[in-house]
Amino acid sequence: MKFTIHLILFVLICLLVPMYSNWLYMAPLGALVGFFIPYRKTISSFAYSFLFSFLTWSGAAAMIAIPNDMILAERVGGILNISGTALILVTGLIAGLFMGLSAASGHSFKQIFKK
Amino acid sequence: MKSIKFLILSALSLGFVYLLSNPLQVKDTQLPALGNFFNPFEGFWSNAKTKPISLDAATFPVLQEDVQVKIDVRGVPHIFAQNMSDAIFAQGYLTAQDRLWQMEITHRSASGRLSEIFGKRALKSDIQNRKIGNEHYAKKRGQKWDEYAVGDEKIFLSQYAKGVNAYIETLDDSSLPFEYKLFNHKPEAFQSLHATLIVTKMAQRLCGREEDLEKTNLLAALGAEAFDYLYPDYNKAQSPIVADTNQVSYPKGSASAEQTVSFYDHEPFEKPNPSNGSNNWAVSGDKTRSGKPILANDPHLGMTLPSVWYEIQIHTPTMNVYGVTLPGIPGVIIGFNENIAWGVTNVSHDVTDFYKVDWADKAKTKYNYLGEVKAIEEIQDTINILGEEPYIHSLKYTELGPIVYSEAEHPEQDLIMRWLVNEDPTNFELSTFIDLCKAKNYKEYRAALSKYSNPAQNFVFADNSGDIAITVTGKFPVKEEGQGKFIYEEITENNLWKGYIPFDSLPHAYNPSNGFVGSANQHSTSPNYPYYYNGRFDHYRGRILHQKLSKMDDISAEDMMALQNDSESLIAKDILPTLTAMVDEGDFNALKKSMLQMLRDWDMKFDKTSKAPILFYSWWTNIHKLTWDEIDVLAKDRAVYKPGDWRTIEMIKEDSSSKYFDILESEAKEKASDIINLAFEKTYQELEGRINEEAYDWGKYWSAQVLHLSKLPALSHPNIEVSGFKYALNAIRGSHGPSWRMIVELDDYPKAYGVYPGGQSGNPASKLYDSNLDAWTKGDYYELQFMKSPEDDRFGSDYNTLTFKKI
Repeated sequence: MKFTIHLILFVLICLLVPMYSNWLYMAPLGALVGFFIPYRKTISSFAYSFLFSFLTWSGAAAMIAIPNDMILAERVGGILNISGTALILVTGLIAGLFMGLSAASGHSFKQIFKK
Repeated sequence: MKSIKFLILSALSLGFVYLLSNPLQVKDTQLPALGNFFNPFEGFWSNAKTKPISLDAATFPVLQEDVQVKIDVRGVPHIFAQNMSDAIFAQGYLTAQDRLWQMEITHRSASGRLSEIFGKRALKSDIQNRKIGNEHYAKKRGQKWDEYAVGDEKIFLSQYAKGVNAYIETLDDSSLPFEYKLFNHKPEAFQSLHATLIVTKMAQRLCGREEDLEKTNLLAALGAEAFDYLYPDYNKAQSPIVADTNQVSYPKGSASAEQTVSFYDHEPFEKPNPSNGSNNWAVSGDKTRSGKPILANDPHLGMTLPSVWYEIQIHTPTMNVYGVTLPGIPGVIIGFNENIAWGVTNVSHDVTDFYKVDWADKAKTKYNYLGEVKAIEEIQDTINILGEEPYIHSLKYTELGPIVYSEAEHPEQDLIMRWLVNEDPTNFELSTFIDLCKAKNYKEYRAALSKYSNPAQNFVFADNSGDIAITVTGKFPVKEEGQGKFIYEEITENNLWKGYIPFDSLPHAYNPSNGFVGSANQHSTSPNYPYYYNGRFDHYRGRILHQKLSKMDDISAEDMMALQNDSESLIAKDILPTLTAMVDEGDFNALKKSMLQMLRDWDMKFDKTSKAPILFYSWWTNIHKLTWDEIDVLAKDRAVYKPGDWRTIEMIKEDSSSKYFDILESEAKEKASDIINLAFEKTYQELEGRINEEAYDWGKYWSAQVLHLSKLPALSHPNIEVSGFKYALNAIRGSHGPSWRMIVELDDYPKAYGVYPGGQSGNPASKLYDSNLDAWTKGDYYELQFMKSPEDDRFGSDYNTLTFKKI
């Protein structure tokens, strides 16, 4: 159950916040979710948060890149010396690390108060 | 322990937030904030959501009437407006929608404001553009244009700017053009001044080239006799644009310009690319299959992405015109209407003179000018540099122009630059293009050209009544023989310009008996033209154009396309038979013999599948290099340049024992034949391992490039295999070449073809970013959809239809 809630919340945060507001606000919301979703270990909070955010942003990027026949993905990838597909993964990686660390911070904050 | 873990994770998290939300500096390149850039909803990914432009419910109260636009499958807008003002507004909007960043970079480049975006790597060019006073003079020019503008001219620049700005207002973080995100800046509102600066930039490319500093150093080092021998003004093999100018007379003054002998140690400013040039011609109905004239034009400029040209049709009740313009400049610069077609090539005269500053005080605040002491106009100028402290310098202006070279320790080296483009205009100079868009015949063409100033162009013309013509057009200073070639030691009445050549005395041809007119940046006239000029002229394309057109009859549009794509060059015809005759093949090995045979069998075409052009080019380059070691020695001390290819060829053929063929480092006394043999040996050494490789051909050796303005390879096409050569009509040289090829068959209603190496869209995510490139590479053309009305379905019905609504 908690995975499903975590997944839904993270997909919503990673989609709606950057769509309607500054993407940086994803961080405090991610920390909040990390605080409340009761994983035993901080590493689990990080790993699932990473995964869900990674999938959301790389998925969103792929949904744009594929109808564009990867034209821009390949060109921007070319600037960074990587392929268009790798560029989609890098997009996911940025969200994954960003949100993973936020959630882990939230989670570890809660751990302070746990006996 | 738990607190420490929290602190570490929080610090990591905050560090990551900081990293993602701030621009990254990698060496001298600033990268955008990664979080902003990669964010799929606002970052670069949102530029990949390409969809046809739509105006939705937008209204534009500035319009007098609604404007209908049809955008064809190549992204070319066809604007149907009820008046010029509305049409130009729509042109501004649509051009910005495709090319906003390009427009901004072009005017920033002219005014010297690129460092604000690209950091200190752009500083050198910014300093140069500020020292020569581009913005200073563009402002003055803009003010004069406002004063002189009448009728449609009054709204020409302002309506265009309003259109651009209306588009800018629609932008948000997500829809910002890609490069703004990549280089982390925001669009500036477009002003009329920016259009003026873009005109300046074009002038700089086309008539900003001079070698006065280098020539002066050469004169000082070599003496007048040797200088005139090595760098003559006129090539007798030349086929001038207008050979017969006997109708023009001008009483020459007796005093010839004085020549200086001082050396100047300045590092010359970066010069515009020598390959900026063009071809144009028109053939009369007597020579065509249709019995009506055909006009062709291919301007050779930097082949960039976004492309240098923007294609457009503008239809109003008083005009229906199709052609190309530079993003940032309204109207059409090269094109055709229902009655006439016109095209341009660069005139290439030297219209820049330098004068030594005669300081009147040690503090360099006053200077002597024609017997008077004048104060310098001095401006403290600040160049803002991304990520660095601003660069502050002072700009100094005199009556004649800016002081462009100034050294604290050597005031005798300080120089004033007088550039024709900076002279006060006497009319709204862009009116030539407005009038050409509307012109119906030869008389109106000539009237339009009479208002033109600079950059001087050869305007070729044809109309559907059967007339063809060419005019060397622009403002040209009246000079005495030799005037303006070298730096003047002082400013005197005698070495200033003596007015301008009257329009009717400019070289022009109208329906000549040979049935064609044309130009390819060669000399404007034969030496008997009474007005003196010098410059940097083409020596090969104009001649071959003349030869080929003379022989052609029953000409079709396809023949003209083939001629624009012709890769034959007269440089090979001029010298190769001499070279192969002079080479000593006595002890040649098999490969050398086969290399020589390849050259003897060559058809002199710089064809991409051929190997012989590689051998010729390498051999000729080595000959030129070995010959001009004397100039290399001079170049170690100060700025000079080498004699041209044509003069070197002339010397080999006419003066093969000249002392200049002697190699300074060797003890022997070499002649031209020795140089030729040594150069062949060098070519053999360079190419012996490669020349027989199957895949090694001219297309790979000479490969063309179409580069994004940022030069980023991933946004460019850095290796395009095409036929052509800098001295062929298909004048390809690296990232320079035919930037627009246009053929117009005049008739009751014209039929036209065109192509350029790029695409209408500036968005690297769009298919239209480079969609014309394949056709251009193959030498193919598109039929241009010159519509009669918005309902015209002669080209099908595949259009995106937009309406700019007034309310």
